[in-house]
Amino acid sequence: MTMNKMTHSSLQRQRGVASLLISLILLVVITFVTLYTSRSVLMEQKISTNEYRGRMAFEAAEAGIEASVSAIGGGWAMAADDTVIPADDDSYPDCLPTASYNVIFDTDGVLDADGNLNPDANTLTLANGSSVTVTMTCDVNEDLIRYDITSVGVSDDVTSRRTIEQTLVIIPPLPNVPDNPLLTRGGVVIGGSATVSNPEGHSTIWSGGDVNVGSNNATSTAIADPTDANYPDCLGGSVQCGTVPSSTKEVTGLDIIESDTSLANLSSDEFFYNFFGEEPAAYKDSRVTVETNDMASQDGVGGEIIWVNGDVNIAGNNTFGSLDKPVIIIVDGDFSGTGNNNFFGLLFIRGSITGSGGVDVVGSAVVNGVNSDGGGSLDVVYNSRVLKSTYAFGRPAAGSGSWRDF
Amino acid sequence: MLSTRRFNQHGVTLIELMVGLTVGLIVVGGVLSVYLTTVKTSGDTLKASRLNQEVSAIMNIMVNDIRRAGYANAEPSTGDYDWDDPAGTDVDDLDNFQEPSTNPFNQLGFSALEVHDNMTSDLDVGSQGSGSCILYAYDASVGDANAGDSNGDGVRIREDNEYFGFRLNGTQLQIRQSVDIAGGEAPNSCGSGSWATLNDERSIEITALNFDLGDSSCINTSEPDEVDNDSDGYPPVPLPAGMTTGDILKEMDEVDCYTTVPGVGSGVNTVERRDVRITLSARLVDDTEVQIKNMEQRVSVRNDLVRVR
Repeated sequence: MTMNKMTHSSLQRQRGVASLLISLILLVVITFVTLYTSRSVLMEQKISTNEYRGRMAFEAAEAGIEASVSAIGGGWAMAADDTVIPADDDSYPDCLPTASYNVIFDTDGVLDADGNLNPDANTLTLANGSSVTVTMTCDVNEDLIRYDITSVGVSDDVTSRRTIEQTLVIIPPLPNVPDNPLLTRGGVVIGGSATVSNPEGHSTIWSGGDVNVGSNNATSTAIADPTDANYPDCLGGSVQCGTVPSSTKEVTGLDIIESDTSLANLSSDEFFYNFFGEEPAAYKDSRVTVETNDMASQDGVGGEIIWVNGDVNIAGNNTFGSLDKPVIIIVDGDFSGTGNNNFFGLLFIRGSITGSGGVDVVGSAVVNGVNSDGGGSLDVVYNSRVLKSTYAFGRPAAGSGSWRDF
Repeated sequence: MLSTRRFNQHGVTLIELMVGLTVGLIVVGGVLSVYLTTVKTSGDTLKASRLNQEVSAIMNIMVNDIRRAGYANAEPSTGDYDWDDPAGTDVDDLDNFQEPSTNPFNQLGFSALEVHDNMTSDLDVGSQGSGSCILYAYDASVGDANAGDSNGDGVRIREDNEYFGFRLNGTQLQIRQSVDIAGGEAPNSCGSGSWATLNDERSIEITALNFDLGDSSCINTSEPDEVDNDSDGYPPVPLPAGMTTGDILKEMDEVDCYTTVPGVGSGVNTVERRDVRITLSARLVDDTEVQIKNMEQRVSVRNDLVRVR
């Protein structure tokens, strides 16, 4: 009886089998379709994620380039272990063409005792988790400094890596370095004493007007000594030549060029352009780093391009620049002083030197008007290395055409 | 026992059959509709994602490639090379600073980036216009100076297959692969060169493509030059004595060399940052309902165009 009942009931239930089978098959098909779709969607998601990581790495690499560019604009320091450190001083690394440098970032934002950046790691991690490492090589050629920056960005999960390269050129603030210790457009009248020496060449005073060396026994010029053991390698070399006296108050040697019309015929602006490669107003606007009415306030400053407005009458003993960190001082007026003033770099006077006092220049002095030192003393020693060191605080410019990410 | 069995095999009543059939149909119908919906949405999803993937891949290719426009290797590993000495006769003239205006991949009217209105009328839309064809060049092979001037265009590092471009040709988005310079083809023409289609034209058609240079900017690096180029009274000419920096700054509106265009032969330097806004629309060939409208990306060309006017 039990058997019978069971058979009976299963027979009755067989009526729904068709529906059940159809439903089951359809459900299985639906499952497969859904699985296939989700696989594609997952794949799409993977592609999007890859793209996102790729973009993240790219942006990190770009950030590395930007950080390096702005750091180069703000000056660098170099540590002993071939690393380049963005710092707030104005020195540039001595450029060693064969070396490759790691750029060190200030990642924790902790400043040093002087309030400068305190670099601590050569990988910079950005807020979104991506990181960047920057290396660079540097080259000095034809008086230009060039940095080749390579920035490697890595995405937060380290799956994507992009490399960007960019060249940066430092545009020198003084494209045409003067060749003479003392250059004037107007002329030279030496009332006191003057020594002008050029250990790197054979001319000392180049003037568009007359040169009157005065009557002081101490006044003399000196030129590179051709009998120097290192001659002629010492001309413009790191070790300067010895000098031999050339002109005195009695004898005017070949080293003094006077009444040169090629200078005298220039306008004041053309004379300026000749050295700086820009009109005075444009140069002042774009290149000058310090503009002041009080020259004495710049005592001890180095590595700057200083524009002094108006006539200067400076008192006391001041030193502007140093051998390693020279200055370019442009006096937009006449210059006179008392006391001793020392200059390292280029002293460019758009007016005349009128006063007395001691003026010591290592580098070059260029005077637009008349250089008459009154009763004071003027000592100029030409030094091309000092003048060329001014390149270091030139303006960095991204070399157009140098950016690549492949 | 037997008799009961036989009795049971009697069949069903009409009512039973009807109810059973109805219930069965409802169940099967429900499952069928779920099935159909799933298949349809899956199909739609697949189609959409296919279109999406292909269009964004194309967009990525364009963005990444256009960004490189104007790259030129300044220092090929194989020898000294000067941009301003393209024939390469003066190999001793090792130059640390390549004059950007002599960049062989950024010469206006030849290799510099240009947008043309479309490939048939092929008109240069200028520095701020828009169109459906873009042309540019970059040093993809990272120039080999010793390779010689293979195509006779006067520049050793510039090769036929380094002139790129994208254009809309009907419903196809095409990339330029090379230009036969020696054969007289002009690189700054959307009709010249050999082009390959980027989209799979059997399944996807591009309905619109636009390159817009409207966000580009131009800087006249010679300003302030103390000349009132745009005649707005600033700076006063001649400059009065004692004029200050602040007054000079009022001249800064002349810095934009798209508004105040420097004269030909004026010798001023201009730097142009080219910004390209790319807009792309596409749809499926067999289901035109599935489409992407105005996908947009902006790319800033990294290597600026430097010109001496």
